[in-house]
Amino acid sequence: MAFVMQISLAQEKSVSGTVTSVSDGLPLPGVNVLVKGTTRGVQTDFDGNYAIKVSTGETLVFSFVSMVKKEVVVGSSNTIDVTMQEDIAALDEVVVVGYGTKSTVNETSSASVVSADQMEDRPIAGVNNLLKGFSTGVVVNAGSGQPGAGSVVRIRGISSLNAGTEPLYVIDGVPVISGDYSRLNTTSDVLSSINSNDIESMTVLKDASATAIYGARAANGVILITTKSGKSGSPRFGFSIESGFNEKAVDGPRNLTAAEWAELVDEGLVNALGSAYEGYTNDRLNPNGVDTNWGDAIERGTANQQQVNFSVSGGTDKLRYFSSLGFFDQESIVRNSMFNRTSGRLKVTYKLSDKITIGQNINAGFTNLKTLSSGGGFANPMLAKYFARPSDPVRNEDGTFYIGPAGNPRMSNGLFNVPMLLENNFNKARTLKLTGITDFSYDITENLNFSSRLSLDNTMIEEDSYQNPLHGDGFTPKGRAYAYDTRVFDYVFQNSLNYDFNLGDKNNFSVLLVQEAQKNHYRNVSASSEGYGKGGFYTVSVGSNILGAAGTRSQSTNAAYLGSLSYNFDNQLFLDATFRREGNSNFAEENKWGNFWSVSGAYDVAKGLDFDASSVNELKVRVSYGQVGNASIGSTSSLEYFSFGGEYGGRIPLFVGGVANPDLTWEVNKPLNFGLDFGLFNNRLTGSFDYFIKKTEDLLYSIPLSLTTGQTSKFVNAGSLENKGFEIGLGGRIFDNDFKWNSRINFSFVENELTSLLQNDVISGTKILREGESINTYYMRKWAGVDPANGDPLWYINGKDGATTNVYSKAERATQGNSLPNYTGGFINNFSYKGFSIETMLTFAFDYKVYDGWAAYLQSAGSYTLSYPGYANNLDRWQEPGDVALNPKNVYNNSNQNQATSTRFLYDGDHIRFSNLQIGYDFTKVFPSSTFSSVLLYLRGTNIITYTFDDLLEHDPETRTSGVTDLDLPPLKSYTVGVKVSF
Amino acid sequence: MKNIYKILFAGLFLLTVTACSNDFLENEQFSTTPQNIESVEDLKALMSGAMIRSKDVTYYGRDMIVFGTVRGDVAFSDANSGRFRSPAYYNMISTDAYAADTFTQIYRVIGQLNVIINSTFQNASREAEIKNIKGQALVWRANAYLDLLKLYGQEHTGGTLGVPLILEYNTGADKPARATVAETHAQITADFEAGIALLEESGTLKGPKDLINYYSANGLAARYYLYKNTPESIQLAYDRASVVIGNTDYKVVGADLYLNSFSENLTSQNSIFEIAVGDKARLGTNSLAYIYKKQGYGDIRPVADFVNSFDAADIRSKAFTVTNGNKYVSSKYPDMSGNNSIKFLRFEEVLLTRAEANLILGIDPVEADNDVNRVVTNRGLAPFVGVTLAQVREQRKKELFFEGQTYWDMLRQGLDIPQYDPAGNLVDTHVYGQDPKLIFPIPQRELDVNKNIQPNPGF
Repeated sequence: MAFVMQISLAQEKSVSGTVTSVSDGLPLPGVNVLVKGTTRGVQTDFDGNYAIKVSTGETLVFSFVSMVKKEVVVGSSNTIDVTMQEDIAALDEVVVVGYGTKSTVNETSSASVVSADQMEDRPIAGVNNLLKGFSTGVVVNAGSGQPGAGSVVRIRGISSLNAGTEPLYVIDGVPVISGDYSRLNTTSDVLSSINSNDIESMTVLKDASATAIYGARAANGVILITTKSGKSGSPRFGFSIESGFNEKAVDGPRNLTAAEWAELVDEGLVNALGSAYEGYTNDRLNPNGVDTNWGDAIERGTANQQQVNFSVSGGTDKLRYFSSLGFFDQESIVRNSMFNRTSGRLKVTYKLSDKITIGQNINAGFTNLKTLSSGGGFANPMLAKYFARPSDPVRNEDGTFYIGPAGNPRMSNGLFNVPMLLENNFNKARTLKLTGITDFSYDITENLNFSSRLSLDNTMIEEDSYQNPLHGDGFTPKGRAYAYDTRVFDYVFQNSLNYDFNLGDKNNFSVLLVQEAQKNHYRNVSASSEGYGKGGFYTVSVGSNILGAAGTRSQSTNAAYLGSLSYNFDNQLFLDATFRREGNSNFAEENKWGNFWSVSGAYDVAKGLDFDASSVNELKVRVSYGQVGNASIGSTSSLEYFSFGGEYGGRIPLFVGGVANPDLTWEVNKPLNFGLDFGLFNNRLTGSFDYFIKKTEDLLYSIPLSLTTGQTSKFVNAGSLENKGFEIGLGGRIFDNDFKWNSRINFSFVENELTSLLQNDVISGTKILREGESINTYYMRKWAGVDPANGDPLWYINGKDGATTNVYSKAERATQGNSLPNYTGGFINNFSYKGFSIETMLTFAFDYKVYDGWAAYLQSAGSYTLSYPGYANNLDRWQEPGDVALNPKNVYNNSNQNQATSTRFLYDGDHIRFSNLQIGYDFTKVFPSSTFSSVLLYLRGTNIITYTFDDLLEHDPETRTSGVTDLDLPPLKSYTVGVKVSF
Repeated sequence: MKNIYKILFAGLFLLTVTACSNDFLENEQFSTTPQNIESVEDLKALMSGAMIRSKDVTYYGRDMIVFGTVRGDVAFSDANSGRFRSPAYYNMISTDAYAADTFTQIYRVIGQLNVIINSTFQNASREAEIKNIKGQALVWRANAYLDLLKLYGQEHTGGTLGVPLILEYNTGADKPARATVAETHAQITADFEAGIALLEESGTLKGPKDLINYYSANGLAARYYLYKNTPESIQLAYDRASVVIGNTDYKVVGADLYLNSFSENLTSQNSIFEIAVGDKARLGTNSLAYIYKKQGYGDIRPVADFVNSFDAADIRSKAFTVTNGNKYVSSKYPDMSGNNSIKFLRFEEVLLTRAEANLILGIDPVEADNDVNRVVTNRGLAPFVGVTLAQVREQRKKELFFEGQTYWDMLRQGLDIPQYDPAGNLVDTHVYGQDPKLIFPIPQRELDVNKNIQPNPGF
């Protein structure tokens, strides 16, 4: 080794003491005790005791998750007892696994941390959904009330047009597979196989300082998930059990009763075809006076919710372990839609010698998912609610399902009896996700560490789908079944070298060198067959007509080298620099490698000015700038190719495909961030403020081609866009005695602007890409209401205001707002008094629009009402001159285009949601127990109130990122009661 | 103990170095191959690919056939499922999905055919096969441009614009303008003639019914030349039809087999060309059967006057079935799972084409009688003596209804087009040569991207 460090060892002595919590006086195990400016440190044992060798004059830093960091200068005493205070706004000192033993969250980073206690036991299946409201700069869209559904996470806006926009998920230091890999089910998320109770912290990395180290996949931000670890001490057990029920968070539009439908249909027919049609509906369509509420018919009586978690952790000075078992079960309000998960985790580290530590981190998650048909599928229950006629009965008099006439079993309007399908058909997925992380750490010298980490991540999804032969899609083929298997396997291999050293006693350096390689294998096989005579059999080979089999494979790789340097002067001035060179197999030979970097600095003004601890504790300014990349495009975008598939009269075909662009290269993302962190009045008021400008250049853009080329689009690097905004996180301990009131607000603003594009005004569906506008901008005609004189639909001719027309094609399209909320956040208030505690959270989103994607059918002023009844708001229609009505004159089969795309169905999505209310009582606080450290009984409500500002918006305001509703299952409202015991 | 770590350490280091070479970043492509034509088999496969693209639901799998059926005087849409409302009710707007989807799909087929037609691949020992494939591709491109011209060209609305002519596969940023109707016709004629010549030169005149051969090429050309409706082209229609009729392998299907012939895939003796579908590629709920039959969506139904115009003895009237007093066409595309091949060209049509051309030009009235009678006597009807042009045209309509021909037959005759409401009542008439709604809009998607393309007025 070439480095020789001169570290003068002054008089070293042994100091010991006990660390306790200010709030309850109980010992704190697992507190990090570190000699400031060095890597020397220990942890407190189960009784809060520690012992460490230090020299007089050195500073001991005590830190622990969600506690205010405390520093004590070593004096003459050999005993230093410390009390620590809770810090609701704690942003630092959360255990975060980075590369090797080195954390990747710097003092100069813009990062939000959500710790375990905020996430545990919530009745939410997907870990990413838990971030909502707790972190600034993050927008989470669940889009569907399907339990276990995939959700869309956006960090600081949307930074790409056509390349991936999902953040990178890093679990225990390893980038993992995320997203939806199901093929037969309408939605799923591989991350839902992770038990949120196993998570110690989730850290959202937002600026270049934090993300550049992850290079190419960090353009959309990074979410670091660190799982729980054992702490030395005797075993600690945790057990929680929870049970409850689910409802719809928002009722959604009401469907029509038989009488209301008859009224509308008759009126529409009379208006179109004359008075001969009066009473037509009840005479001809519904002579038996049936009145079915299909909305009720698709729902369960009660939708249950339960979870059970058990964990044990502990360790000795050499061995630490954490082991857990969990079970989570959630039913949606609609039949045949559910999710459950059984998970287990074992995390062990063992110190082989003074220098060598090995670790093994194994997680197994097994999930069962049942989803429903979505969108326009006749089997979609949400479609049935509004499309099915109330004149069709659900069941016959003998209790069996009514399925329509024999030979052509359909409802009277050609649709299906969905409750029958819910009972007899299914789409299900069983996912087994196994991950194993093997760690090896070698302290070559006291300051030089080599670590190696190998992660194997295997996800197997087995999906089955069945359509019964009696009714529905399965009728014609006499029953149909599908069996699809999908496997995603990912390995990551990381080697890192970390060297920490000091120059003098105030200049602290840390150097990190990393090599990383990742390979992803994907394969699937699919089989299907038809012809199922006997009920109860769904296996593909039971079918009399095997339809066929298919299978595909793909793989991709990336490799990276990175170096990073951290410097701090006396914990007051911080400088970080990172460089990463990364290669990606998605690009052509010459364009595979990209360079990414960041530089950042921070300065704690408070340190220099030596404030009194009761006034200013921290006042840190931060700045960072860098360049990260995005390569999330298909592996064939750079290639010109022929593809295979199918057959023509038994012959093998080739298809011209792949519009090649060999010049395609990395999309570049340049985030600039200014930040301020502060702590005032003994850290009773803490907070941070960030302002950012994130520029994306060389946008990977799927440029629409003239259709005459025979292709629709081509990937190019074209254009740039910008996301800018600010984030405010403020936390306060408002009362801090027996009665405690902690409050925190997270507020984010982000504004998106397309600054340039190869091609301006690209219109697709309801949206436009136009320079100077957000990339989520709606572009459509503007509804001017109903003409009170004659009931005609009206639109503004210029798309904005002024003169109107009743001819759709004479009205121009114009920009009409955007679909991604500009303002989002959460407001958290926690109260406690002795054993009682109340935790609340409001989440909100403002300044965005939601488009009702099916209103064209469901609110058509008579165009479709005869076949498809639609929303109850059809009743509010023009009937006679002078009427000021929501909907135009009701005319059967009208062709006035009243229902064509316009702002008539575009609503403000602004809303405030009471997302979480937990009322708890901890018995041990009142009846101290030597066995139990906590026995908490709680009641929890999730999404209990949703307030929307647009009275006309009846669907849930939280929809897909596109902003367009698609008859999805409504998000859930849950009420649960639980017991949580630790001992 | 120490040595083990050293070995481990060294091993890790070695892995580090080897894992990250550039080879690591090259990955196998498992389901694509570079765009090089390396064999005659590749050319054949590309032609099969073009046919698969053609049987897409947005082209001949359903939509193209329905467009030619629901417009005209034999069919209407009862709007049951809401499908084909805009073609049926002539209220398309520029963003109409039917107009956009079919436009996209036809040009996709043309792109694929251009790769075959312009291929420079050579193989001296298999030259005849290459000629045959290129001949097929040229004929199919001619037919594709004919479809584009029918749907988007202004021939029947008083305008002069045809469609953009793309003759090379090129995925650059081309933004082509529209050729004129005359230029489009010239290209179609050139492609038909060149294709037929290559098929003839190839020496293989016959082949399976699901590929274009010399005879089916002549039959398709005859159909086109009749549609083109100039004195020269009608003579060509007569000549091309005569080539097909000269092949004695093709026979009119008898009355006893008529209904069943539509269930036969690639085997019926009257079938000249079909687009294969088959069980594995079945069209399911997107099939013609689904849109025609009560058991499916049943939207497209026959007009009452047309149904009533059939003689009771006419076997073709048995194609209609009645449910709840409503009539449906149930036997032309009978299979509800949608695996019937698409009957594209039948021998009966070629006979009627020649008879029509014959009478227009006044060539040989006896031959015209014979051609028509070969059809009608196999339908349960008495033979004609001195058949008139109007009678031939009526027989053509009765023979080919719901097979996607009626609307184009009416337009080529310059007829006004009736429009029916969902109850099947006549509600409007679109004046030939004037009403812009007789054709489809150039899709808004294309207008947005391609500033050189001129829109069709009225949308």
